[in-house]
Amino acid sequence: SSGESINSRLALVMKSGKSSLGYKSSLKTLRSGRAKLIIISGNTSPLRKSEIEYYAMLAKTSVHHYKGNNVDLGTACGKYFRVGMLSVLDPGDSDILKNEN
Amino acid sequence: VVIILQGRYAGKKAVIVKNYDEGTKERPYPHAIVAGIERYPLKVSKSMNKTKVAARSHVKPFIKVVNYAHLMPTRYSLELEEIKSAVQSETFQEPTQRAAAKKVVRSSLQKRYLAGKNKWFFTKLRF
Repeated sequence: SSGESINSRLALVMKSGKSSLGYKSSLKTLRSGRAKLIIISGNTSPLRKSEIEYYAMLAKTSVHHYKGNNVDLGTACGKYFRVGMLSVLDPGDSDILKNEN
Repeated sequence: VVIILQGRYAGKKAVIVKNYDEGTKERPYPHAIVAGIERYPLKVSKSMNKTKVAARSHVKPFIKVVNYAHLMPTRYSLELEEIKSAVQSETFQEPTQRAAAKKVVRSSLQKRYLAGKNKWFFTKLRF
């Protein structure tokens, strides 16, 4: 799926589902097992990226590398701040999870 | 098995004995009781005699209650039934209980090391 569709799916998740924005809160959701999908922005440092990938591997959660930086990811979430990482807890009406598989 | 990230024991490997995903009244955050290895056994080589090997194979343990945020989980695991009964939340109330619990941890970890199992756990993390 192209970059456009992930944006629209994210918008739907923001509207109808539950998500957790930010590194600290995404880690918390990964630890508790509530995260269904992690989206990482393109400009997060490789160390942090691999750390989250390791956590997600242990939690058996899929990771999506967003094509765009944290500014773009924040805009895609409809926020006026930068979002380096977010975790989708409940997709709502979106099919964002089905596309990953 | 986890790696402690903060505090005096940062960089040391530990086993989760009991975890509290919801937290307790005294600690309203997710935390775990861990038993870790404070001083790793030194490297032994074939040319050393028995007493030297025995002295270099000592394991100094620690027990601690740690916030999840200060732990890095790993894919490794270490099963230790004896520790589970010795180290509980009551153990941390008195220093004498702590010392007794550490003795149990020490003996079981020492046995594990000498049996040659869980080699990754007993090697120092280089950083």
